[in-house]
Amino acid sequence: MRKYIIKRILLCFLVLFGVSVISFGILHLTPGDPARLLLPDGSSQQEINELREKLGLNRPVQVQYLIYMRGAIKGDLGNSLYFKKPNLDLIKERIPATLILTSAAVFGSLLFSLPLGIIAGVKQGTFIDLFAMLFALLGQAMSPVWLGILMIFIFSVKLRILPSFGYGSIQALIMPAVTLGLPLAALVTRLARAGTIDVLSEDYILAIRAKGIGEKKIITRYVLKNVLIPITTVVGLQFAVFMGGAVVTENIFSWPGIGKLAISAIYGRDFPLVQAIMLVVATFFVSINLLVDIVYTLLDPRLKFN
Amino acid sequence: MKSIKLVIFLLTILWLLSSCLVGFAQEKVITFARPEDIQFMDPYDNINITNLIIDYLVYDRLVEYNPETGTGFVPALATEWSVSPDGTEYTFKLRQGVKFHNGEPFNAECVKVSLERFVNEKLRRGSDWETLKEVEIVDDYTVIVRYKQPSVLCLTTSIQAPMLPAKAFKEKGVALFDNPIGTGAFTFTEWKRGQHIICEKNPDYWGEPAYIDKFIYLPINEDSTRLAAVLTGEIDIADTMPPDQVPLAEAEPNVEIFRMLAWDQIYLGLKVDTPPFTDKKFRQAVTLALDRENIVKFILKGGRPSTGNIPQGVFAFDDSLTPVKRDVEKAKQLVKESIYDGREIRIIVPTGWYPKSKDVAQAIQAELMEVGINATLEILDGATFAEKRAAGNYDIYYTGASQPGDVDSFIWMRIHNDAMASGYINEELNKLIEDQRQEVDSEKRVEMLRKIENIVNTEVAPHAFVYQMEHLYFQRTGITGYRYYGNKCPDLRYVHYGE
Repeated sequence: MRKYIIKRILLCFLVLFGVSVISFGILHLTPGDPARLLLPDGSSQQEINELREKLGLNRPVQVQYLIYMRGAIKGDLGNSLYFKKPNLDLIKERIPATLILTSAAVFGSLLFSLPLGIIAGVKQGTFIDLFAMLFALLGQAMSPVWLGILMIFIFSVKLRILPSFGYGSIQALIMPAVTLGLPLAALVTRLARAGTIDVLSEDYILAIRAKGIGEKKIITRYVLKNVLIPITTVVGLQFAVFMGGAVVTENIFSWPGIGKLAISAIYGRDFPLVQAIMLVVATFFVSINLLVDIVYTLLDPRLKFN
Repeated sequence: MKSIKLVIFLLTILWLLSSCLVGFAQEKVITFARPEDIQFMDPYDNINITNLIIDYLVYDRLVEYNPETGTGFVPALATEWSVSPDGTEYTFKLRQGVKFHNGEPFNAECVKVSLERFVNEKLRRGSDWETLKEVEIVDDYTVIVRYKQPSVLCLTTSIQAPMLPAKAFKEKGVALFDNPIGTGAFTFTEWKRGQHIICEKNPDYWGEPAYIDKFIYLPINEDSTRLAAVLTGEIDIADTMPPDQVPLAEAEPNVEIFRMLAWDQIYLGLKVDTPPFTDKKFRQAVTLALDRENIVKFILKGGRPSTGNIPQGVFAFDDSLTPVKRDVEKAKQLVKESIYDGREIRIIVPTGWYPKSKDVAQAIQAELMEVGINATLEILDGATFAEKRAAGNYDIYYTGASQPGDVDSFIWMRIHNDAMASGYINEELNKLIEDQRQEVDSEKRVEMLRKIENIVNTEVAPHAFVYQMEHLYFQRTGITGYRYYGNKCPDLRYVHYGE
């Protein structure tokens, strides 16, 4: 087990290295000069070149990369060209908001969809089952942009029970969390339902029933554990993806998270900031994946002995 | 079950209470939302004009725009001023008894430290003050701003160069701008990036005190959300609203729409040094093909067709000019007579920079094709567009220009210095542009600027102007006291709910 974890951690570092190289490369290959964008429209080439020199953009790409990574390893993620502030500070300002939104979306959708899916699987063919399938279909079909704006108009403008934007209150969290979490809830419902049906049709369930174990215990002990295996993977991945910035949701609800910061940094070709965000997000991603894998081994005894 | 019901009941009460408590605040607050966030608070190093909104509240400048007319200047921190006959020296008499938010007194030293930043540092607004030589302190309340060459732009550029506290700036340098200190009607209280900026009333303001206690700036990027927020009353003023949402705002009785003709114009830049643009006939055909009326009326539902490179509201604007009228037959004929060989004409268009740019570009493409020009569109993201444009990698580029009240920097950078690689070299035009920069006599300068405009219009080089933009604000009824300028950054010091 320990060997497995150590191997996985080493792999994490390899992935982070790969991400840093690829993101740096793509960013620099894309047309667009940050110095030009930082100066007034119509500035002379000479002024732009002077700024490039000052920002160190004229050095060869490989050198820029090495200089950046040398700082990054020490914990210095450089300064944003646009904001002229340390990138780590800018990211730290935004992480709590993204974390709160992501957690609310993920846990909210789990709380709703897991029981829904399981009950639908147990009570196949009933109204609950139909509702669950409909929910799963709509949840994955609805565009978050459309859904978000629609909810604002219904719950904020028409009914006046929820704020249309903002950060800091639970009311303000509800709509963004629903918008973000709905596709995930839909997916989890389907997986939970399918998994439940699968497990309940297994032979060993028949054996357990014969032993006299009650339905409730069967569901909570056997069905739940088995269903959680694929769901953990999906949820873990989604959590990590959301941490990368739920850009659309953040934009619609003016949620001050990392997604918006990343998008404007990319549009502005703010190389150091984009690189910093990539590294931070990738770190989250690999850490969460590692966590998921460890949880996985706890859930599935078959893996313990590998 | 009973306990769950009780919990739900209590939670609901708590929720209702928390949303009610906000309404009990006694202080007068105005909330203002705009798509962009503030970049940083150093007005000297900032090209992001959104900052001006906060700058007006927190800082003061030597002069201000005349609030009645929007152009022309009135005293602020300078009580009187005069220009030397050769235009190289501006003498300012300063207002006495003014204090910064940290208690420091405002005097000539502050003017020197502030403006000489352009001499000592490399700043992004530096091109406005290229020819500044020094600031001489005559006495505590008199300064002379001295230029290396005659300048006509001292007052215009000083709008975006507010006065900084000399002592605090010498101590902290640019770190001062994390908590800006000015002499303004409001103090800069709190800044949570991406969330809000809060400014509070300065009780010791030298000028007329503000009506409200608190001003909150919110960056809300999504147009629909900004609209919803002003419809519910969560914000008081929504800035930069798209014309499509006007009907929704009109339907709400508590919201009114304020329209402002901005100093921004959209124009087409032509690659004059490459055939067929080398042929004047072809260029004329391009401008004759455009249906400016149509674009303004149906696509933008506001604004005005352009008459030249000087927008309405800006110094030297000529209201006797009329926009080029669309003439399809003549354009077709000119295309046939020109050297045009039927090749693809590429129009590059940036996304996200201007409202409805895609729609307008598509209309223009269709209009050009109607007269026999094989036009194609390349819709690019802003950064890529800027690269291609600077490299001259286009046949036509679609872009806008905002003026700070004077067309000088526009014609200097985009015609004289050809910053967008159009390849157009007109000696007469360039000489006029150089001369007008230094012409101190206002009337003579107007003549020169109009002559420049005329040459660009007749030659259709290097630009063909399309339309001047309208800027829309949606606000709650009863709001008054604001000053909106064509630079799209309102002066909100005196905004309040009027009786």
